[in-house]
Amino acid sequence: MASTLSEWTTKPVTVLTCDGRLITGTLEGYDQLQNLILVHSYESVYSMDSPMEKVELGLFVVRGDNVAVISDCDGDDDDEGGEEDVRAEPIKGIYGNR
Amino acid sequence: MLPLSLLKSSTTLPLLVELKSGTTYNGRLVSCDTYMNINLRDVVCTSKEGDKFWKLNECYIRGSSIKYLRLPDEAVERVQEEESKWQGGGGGGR
Repeated sequence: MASTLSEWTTKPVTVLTCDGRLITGTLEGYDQLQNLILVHSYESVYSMDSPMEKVELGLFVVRGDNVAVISDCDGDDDDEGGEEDVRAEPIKGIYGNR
Repeated sequence: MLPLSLLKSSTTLPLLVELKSGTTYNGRLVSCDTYMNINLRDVVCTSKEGDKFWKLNECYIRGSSIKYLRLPDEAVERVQEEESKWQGGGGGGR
């Protein structure tokens, strides 16, 4: 378990933002306000009507106010099992809507 | 690498800012400060729904209203260059 984000720098992490978006990227930097720098990032968009969609974002700076959850992932999400499409309800934002 | 130092070294680069309200601003970074307040030039402002557009010569965005920023990938290289310059200057004194 990480006590500070320093343990996760240069590692792939998935960030859940307050508006319900899931952003995965390599944690390049952070500060005490939890502002984050994610490199080579993409958003994982889930819906019940279509398979999971990856939207490439590139270099992403998230303001700390909008970070809800940060988790490590070590790239384990990426297309394991190959062709299976994953369908899921999109995550709600903390305000009850996206 | 600190997020604010990344921003500081990204002046003149085009970037995309999304505010907490969902409105997006695409423009070149002129300056920023420690509160993440930013000044942009040659800005295109897009409404949350993506249906309305405004062109602004200049705008100033309060840091607290920012949700996230998207920068070009070369912004990271710029910071690394600047960091190595600092270290080169400081290392001589030790």
